Amino acid sequence: MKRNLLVMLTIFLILGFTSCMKETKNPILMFAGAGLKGPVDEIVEIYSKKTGITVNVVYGGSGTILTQIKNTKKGDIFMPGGMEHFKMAQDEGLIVKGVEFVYHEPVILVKKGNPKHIKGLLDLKVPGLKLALGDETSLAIGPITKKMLEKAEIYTDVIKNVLVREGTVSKLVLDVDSTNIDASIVWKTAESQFGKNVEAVPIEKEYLIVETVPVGILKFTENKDEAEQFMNFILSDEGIKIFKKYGYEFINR
Amino acid sequence: MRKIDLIAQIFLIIFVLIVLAGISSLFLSINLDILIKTLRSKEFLFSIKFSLTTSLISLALSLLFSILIAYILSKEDFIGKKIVENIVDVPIFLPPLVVGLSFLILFGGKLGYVLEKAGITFLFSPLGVIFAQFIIITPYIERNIEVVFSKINKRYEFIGKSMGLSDFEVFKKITLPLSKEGILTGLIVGWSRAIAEFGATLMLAGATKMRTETLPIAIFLGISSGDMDFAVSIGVLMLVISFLILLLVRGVVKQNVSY
Repeated sequence: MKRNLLVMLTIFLILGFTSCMKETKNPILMFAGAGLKGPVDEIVEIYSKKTGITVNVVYGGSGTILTQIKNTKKGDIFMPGGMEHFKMAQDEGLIVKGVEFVYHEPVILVKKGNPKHIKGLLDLKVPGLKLALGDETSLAIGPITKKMLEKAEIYTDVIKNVLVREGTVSKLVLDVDSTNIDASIVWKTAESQFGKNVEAVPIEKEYLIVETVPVGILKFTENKDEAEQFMNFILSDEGIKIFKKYGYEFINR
Repeated sequence: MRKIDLIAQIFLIIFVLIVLAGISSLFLSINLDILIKTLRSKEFLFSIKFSLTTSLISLALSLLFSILIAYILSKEDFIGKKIVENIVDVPIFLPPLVVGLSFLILFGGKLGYVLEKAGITFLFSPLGVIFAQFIIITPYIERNIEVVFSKINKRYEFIGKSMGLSDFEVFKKITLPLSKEGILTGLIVGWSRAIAEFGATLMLAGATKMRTETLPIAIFLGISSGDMDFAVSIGVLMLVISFLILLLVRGVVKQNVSY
């Protein structure tokens, strides 16, 4: 009995190891911001079907994936959620070729039917409104919200209406959807998670600040041609269409 | 004595209520349709299979190491033993994230390059998941086994030897059977730790969909891409799975530990 168990264990171990070591020939290794998972997953799937080339995407916070890249000197494509970490990578000479290709814009989220008649950023300073805003250090929408309010010169007034600060965009959506919070500022790309009880109000053009998403080829790439081919696919009409589906806007040059 | 019983009971009830409150909030924020949808999704099926496979492999490997290490550490006395013991325990005291980071740097360097030439890739690969789990769980399992090994009365082993058994036979016929319970406890702790392992896996093996996607990594991907339904349903399912593991292993322990 015991011997049988041991034999089974050994076979199991060997099987497990060999199945784990099976690799396709030259897979592309991509590092992407976790918030981009929706469109990136879809693009990778289509690309793999078309070309037979596997693309392995390591997702994580933009800072985390940059740490992984720097310490392992590995990776073909880098696509963080915003420009901050892309610039850091550029400054250290890690990017061979890069481009900002889509952006996502903030919107004001209000209850369905807009009972408080919020028409834009300036209406958020009306005394008595209850607001939920993103934390100013831990998530990207936070500092952008602050910058827009400062641009409109209403930051100090609006702050008086802030009832709660949240750490994720999902929670901001939830607050407006199911509590007594009147409005919040979230990414338009969060639209897929918008509940039935909320709607989006666009922000005035003169105050709007957007966050751009970059993509670049890393200097550590071992197959530059294939990396470039994949990047071109992301930037093709087909790739951009998928990003648009998730609420991103194309940067027109 | 009575009073202390009462106080103890109150504390027990408070703790149980706290745990139940947390768990039920998870259950309440999900409905059956979403749960079933998640259960059927390709991503979930992959991650549960992947989690079970990797955790069983790392568990088996770790058990081998643990038994042998525990054997040495509980029997022999040698110079620098305290230091060696502390080194074995390092992964317990270090946050898993740091353990993962240290091996990310190690395998990102020359050693990783040599290993890769030999066809062994730990970075951002399923093998890295197994490695991360193995490193994290081994000290826990080893500790459990070492405790029971050192509790065994030396006289049994001495008598065994005096009756002509070799060292190996003494280990196999006396030490191991007497340690069954400790080994099984080590297995429960190790298995649940391996399945729950997140920090080291995230750093070393990366969060790659359908490739290094263990259950906790799937939850992480769900949360960070705004798919809370997916994340919460996997959380609920993980709770069920861990409960099943506990019941399963406990059942086996009850049946087998009778000496």
